[in-house]
Amino acid sequence: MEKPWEPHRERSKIMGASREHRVLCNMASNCDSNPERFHVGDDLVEAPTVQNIIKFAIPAIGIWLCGPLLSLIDTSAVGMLSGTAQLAALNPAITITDDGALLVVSYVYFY
Amino acid sequence: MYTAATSIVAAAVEKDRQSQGNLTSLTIATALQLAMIVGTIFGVGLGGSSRFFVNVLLGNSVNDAALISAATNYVKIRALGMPAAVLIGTAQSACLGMKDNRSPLVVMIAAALVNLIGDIILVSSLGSAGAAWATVMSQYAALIMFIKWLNAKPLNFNTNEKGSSATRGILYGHFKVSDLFKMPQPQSTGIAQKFWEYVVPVTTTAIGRISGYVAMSHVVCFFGTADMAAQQILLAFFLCFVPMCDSLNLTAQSFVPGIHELSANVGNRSKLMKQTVENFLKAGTVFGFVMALIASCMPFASRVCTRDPAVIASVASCTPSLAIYCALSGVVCAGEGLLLAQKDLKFLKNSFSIFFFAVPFFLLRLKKSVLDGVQQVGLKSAWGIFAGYQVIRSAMWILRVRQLLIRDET
Repeated sequence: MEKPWEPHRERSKIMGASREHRVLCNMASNCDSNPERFHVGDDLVEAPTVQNIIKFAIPAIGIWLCGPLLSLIDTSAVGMLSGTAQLAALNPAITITDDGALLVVSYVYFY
Repeated sequence: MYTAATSIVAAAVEKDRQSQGNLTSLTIATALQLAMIVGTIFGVGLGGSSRFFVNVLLGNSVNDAALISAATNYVKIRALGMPAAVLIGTAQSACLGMKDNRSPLVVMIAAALVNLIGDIILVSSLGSAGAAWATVMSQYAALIMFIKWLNAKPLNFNTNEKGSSATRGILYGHFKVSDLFKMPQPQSTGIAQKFWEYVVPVTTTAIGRISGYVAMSHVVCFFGTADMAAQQILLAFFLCFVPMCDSLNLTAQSFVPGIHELSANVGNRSKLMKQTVENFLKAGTVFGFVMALIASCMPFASRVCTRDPAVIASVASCTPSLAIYCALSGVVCAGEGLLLAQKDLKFLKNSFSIFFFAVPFFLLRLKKSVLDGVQQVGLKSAWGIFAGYQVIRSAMWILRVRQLLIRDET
């Protein structure tokens, strides 16, 4: 039987974050004496450390790198194999396709 | 669409964790169907009006017919890949929502390989059109891999409880390839509705962001072929730097909302928030430093993209501005993520509205200088404007984040 949806009781995000953090902490192994912990209500909540932020952020780069990497490979191939004029043509063309896509589906590239 | 996919799928996973339901599967299936519709409409629109867009972007600049037709053909071919592109982005974002940030890496590497091989085969005979075909091929290859993988990947609610949750694929029994060509089912209208709520705010921010880049491309067309080629190289590398700090933004958005939403009367919340903000800004500084280091290698890196000395010189002249831009972008992205996570949308919206007009305004003044015959105006000046934009933006974000902290304490 499905439980009712109770957003106010759900501390989903903080639980998610701290669980993720605990996993990262296990990896980092020296988090046990983490001074950046705060009692909030009944929970002991940790502020994500610089190290943990970077560790979490790096794998996510791949997700955003996909599109740009394809464009970079195109740029390199055209520049080396076809010359300056074709490379120059790529600039307006890629602006239209990639920025158009950004606008329509909002990749949120955060330039 | 992608921001929405990440948040909505994350919420669905959370709900399923409590009730053992299948909301996650249904949400992802709906997201993919919506992506198919959006991608197809966009692809058709883009392909049909490619000539128009190219003409608008080139304006009345003097460029030869070969360049214009090459650009138009490129856009037309890439339009064919748009449905796949939107689907891939959505699938990736859904993975993020399930806190899986490694699987997309595998798909990305595979897609890059397909693209590279396609380029080597096609570009020497077809030029830029060959590059477009290779990209489209790699997008569909990546899409096939993604769907296969989503059908096979088990959804683990808790990594500690081995085998307690579903061992079948997330989409197993919920999704077939043919479903992509169907409209979302009535029972998922609520899910589709959730996506719609994101459309206006996210699209507004996106418009604010890209106006500068579109203006840049337009203005660069007046600087001549070498500068256009140099701009393409700079942009290609630049867009690879960007995700490095985007991930910080994203990380802020997955860590911070929970802290922010803790009830306000709990005393330690603001201390926790302060520490979090500080750590994010520090991480941003580290990222910015690394990116600035990489950016300063551009004069050498450009040699993998061209043999033309004029183009290499043009790239080198823009490198200092690019390095400044990159150095600050870590802090900018971390700050933006912190603001987004605290739902400070009004401030972001207002700021981007200002940038929407300000950045193109200064760039278009460069175009006017070129048309007036002023010497020493070129790509370098345009990147100088971008560096200035980044300086202002980083200052604004940092001040705003601090302001919110102070407001939170009182």
